[in-house]
Amino acid sequence: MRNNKKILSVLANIDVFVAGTALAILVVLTFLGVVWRRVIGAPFTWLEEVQLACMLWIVFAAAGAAFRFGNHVAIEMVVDLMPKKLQKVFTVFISVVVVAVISYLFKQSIGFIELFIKSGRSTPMLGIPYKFIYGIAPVSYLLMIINYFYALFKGVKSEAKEAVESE
Amino acid sequence: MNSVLALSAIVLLVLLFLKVPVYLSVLGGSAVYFVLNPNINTIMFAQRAITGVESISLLAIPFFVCAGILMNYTGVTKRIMDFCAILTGRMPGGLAQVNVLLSTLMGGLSGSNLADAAMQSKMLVPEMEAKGFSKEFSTVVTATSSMITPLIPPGIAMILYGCIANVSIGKLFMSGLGIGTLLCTTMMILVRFISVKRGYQPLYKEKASPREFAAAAKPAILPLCLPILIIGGIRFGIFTATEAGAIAILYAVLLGVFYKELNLKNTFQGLKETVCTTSSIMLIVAAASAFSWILTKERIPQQLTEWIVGTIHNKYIFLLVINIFLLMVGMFIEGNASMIILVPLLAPIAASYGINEIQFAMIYIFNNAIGALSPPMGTLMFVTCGITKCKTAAFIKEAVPFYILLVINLLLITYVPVFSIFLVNLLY
Amino acid sequence: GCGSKPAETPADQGGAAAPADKVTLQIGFENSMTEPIGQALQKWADLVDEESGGTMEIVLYPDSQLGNKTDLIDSMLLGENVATLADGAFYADYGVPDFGIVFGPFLFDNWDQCWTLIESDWYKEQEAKLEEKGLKLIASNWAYGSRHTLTVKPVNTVADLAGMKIRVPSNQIQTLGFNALGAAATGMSLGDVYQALQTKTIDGAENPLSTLYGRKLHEVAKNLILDGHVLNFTTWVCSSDWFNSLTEEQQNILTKTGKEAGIYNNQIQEESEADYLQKMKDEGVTVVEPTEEVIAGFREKAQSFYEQGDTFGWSEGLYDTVRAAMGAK
Ligand code: NA
Ligand code: NA
Repeated sequence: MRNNKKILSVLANIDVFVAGTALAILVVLTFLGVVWRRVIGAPFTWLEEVQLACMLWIVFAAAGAAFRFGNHVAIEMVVDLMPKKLQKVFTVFISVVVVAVISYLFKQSIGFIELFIKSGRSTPMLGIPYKFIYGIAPVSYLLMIINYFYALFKGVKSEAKEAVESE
Repeated sequence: MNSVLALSAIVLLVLLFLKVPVYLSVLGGSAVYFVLNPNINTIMFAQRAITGVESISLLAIPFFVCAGILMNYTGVTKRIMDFCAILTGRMPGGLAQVNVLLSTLMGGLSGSNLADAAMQSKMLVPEMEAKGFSKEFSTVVTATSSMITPLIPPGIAMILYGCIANVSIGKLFMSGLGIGTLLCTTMMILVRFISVKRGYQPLYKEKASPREFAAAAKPAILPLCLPILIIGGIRFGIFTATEAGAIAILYAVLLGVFYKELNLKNTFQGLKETVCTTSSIMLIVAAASAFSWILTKERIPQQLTEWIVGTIHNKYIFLLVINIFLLMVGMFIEGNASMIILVPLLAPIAASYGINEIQFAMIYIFNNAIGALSPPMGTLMFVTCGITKCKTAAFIKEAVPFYILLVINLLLITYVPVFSIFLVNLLY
Repeated sequence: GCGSKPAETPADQGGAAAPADKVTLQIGFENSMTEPIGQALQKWADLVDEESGGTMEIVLYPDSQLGNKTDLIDSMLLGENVATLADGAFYADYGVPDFGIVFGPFLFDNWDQCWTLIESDWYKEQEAKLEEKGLKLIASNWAYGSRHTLTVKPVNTVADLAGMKIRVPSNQIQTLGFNALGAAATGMSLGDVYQALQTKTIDGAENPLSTLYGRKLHEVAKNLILDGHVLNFTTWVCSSDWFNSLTEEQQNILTKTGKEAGIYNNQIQEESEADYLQKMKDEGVTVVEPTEEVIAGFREKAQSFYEQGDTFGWSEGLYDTVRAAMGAK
């Protein structure tokens, strides 16, 4: 029972675990890079490409979670001045915009990745295929939409949630 | 201006002010341009929005965000704050003064004001609130004082400027040191003024006894070694300013283990907060890079510049107009991106008006720094507000005296060359 | 790289709204307008305008304004009307491994061999392979400069390089090339190099003089050895889909004027190189002009690089093929 709960919680936060792992790898490799360059005198020639890949994965893996935990910023001041009823209308409007923009990004990102699938291009030193590095982006766009609505209905301190709650 | 671009700029602004998340507003505006422009492959939109996060120097953001968060979980922040309380205890607005001074000192380490602002929002603002400062005031002091960071060497903006305009970076560094000190001093005066007026009390009426001083100083010794470790490490070339962020994280972890305050649970919590904060910041950076790519492609900065040159013939009016222009640009375009476009165009014009090249560089860099604070696209404002959860409207209201202070500083730099070139002349 | 302020802003002439039937090529590059490359590009733009009677135009975006090299090349694969400069080490990463060899250390003995090579059948073969990948080379006869090594501590012979951390662009060819010379190649973005040299995080950097001087690296590293480890000719690359969409006449105008501007480029490159060298000397850089014997030492050490063909996925006997194609004995 307890184990099940734990597994569920891990599954629900898998995006955070992936991003957190990328962060941990980034920190450790950057540190080891310093050690190898200074102490051993043999800099990691592949460090930059791994660092950039980690950065990309941190940003995109956590982008959905950032909705869940209310990290995405918005300028609330204008909408907050409006009557409550109108604010509700705007919640719908904002949701439509969010879905529209992210869907468009999703569609274009698929095309972007096909580019790398077609060319089979990979990073210069380690030969990591770019399709894997950039592949996180479309996944991330899907997670953004899911998490946006999760935050809207289940409630966390997201911008959209505040609009609903402020009645 | 072409109508597609105008439309996309309007959409961007409307979405921005209608509470659509900032990065999606900017991307939404940009999307309009890509959709309505048949000559451009729409996949380019995804390319800009995705690869905009790929920059080694931006790694400093997750690093220093993480270090700041871990400092909170490991009890380091608290120990430093206790020490600072003793140091500034009798000054009105003590912790706010520390906030300003700390940014000035951190300027010697990070070169990136975003990372500095993020770290101090995590470390200082909760402490300031606990000591009775309002959330808005704490956030505003943190954000505006972070403007000092890129002015104190090393600063990415100065290196970039020196490169683009062919000005000695060493001279720019000396000049930046002077301007940074000017800003620090005037800001501390303003903070004192506001604190006295609002009654942000000094923490102590009495002078701390040597014994109290020692008691507060002792736990702070190990944490205070970190800046020394970082400064020393960078100064002696053991690691770069970016790598220093990773070193800071590991040092924070070591301290947490040493103090027995770090456990698996708050480590995960720290990682979670870091990745979410990093993601929200970097998505804005990437979105801004997409929009500034459009502006570049449409040659907007060049057109505006052309217009300025054609209209103004007096040096002082030129300087005034340039300031207004750069402040406006800074509101909408990421500083490094606009610098790459504008400096090659503006620096020669300034030279033709007979303006000292170092002084003009400082005017430019100072304007850039202000842009990071101003709505609607002030990255410093978003980073600090995002972390402290301060409302942007409250932030802007509270920031008014600071904006006035920045403008006064800007006018001083613009019309009194000696502030920019005194240190340079002294040492060169 | 970056240089001094532009003497003119030719980029302004284009404007956003060109007539729909006008053929526009947007050229994005890292250098600034005052560098020789920028001036030669302006010449190219003028030539295209002239030869086409105003029906074609080249719009210039200096200082990486349009994005970095990989971004630009990826957008070419999407058929965008952009061009940029890139060299062999890059094309190796884009699926033509043999191309990488032109960036190997001490491959050429002199510039004439470069110009012979780009006219050879071997080179045409590589160009054809690149075209299959969607990239068309418009011109290859542009000298970017001899790449030299600027270091914190003096380097007089190849032995002095042993263990020194030299910054190279993050690609396999240049990394293993400098490792072959005994150095520890360190990948780092060009923007970070000034600070890294100043703090001695790295011991040196390599580039043509224009970039070394333009980035002001000589302020923080005072020893220059004119080893010329790579004779860096560069190419202008665009989308082959876009290129094939042009009429034959338009294609000819582009390639012909590109070549002509290249010749102009090579003249001003040579003049500016002497100029940069003098400026560096004036600003206190110790310059080592290596003797034949010292260069021979470098060359010998570099040989181990060419034995790693398998690592790069090179064809059998590539080094000999290329040396023959450039007319070297
Ligand atoms: Na501060
Ligand atoms: Na701004």
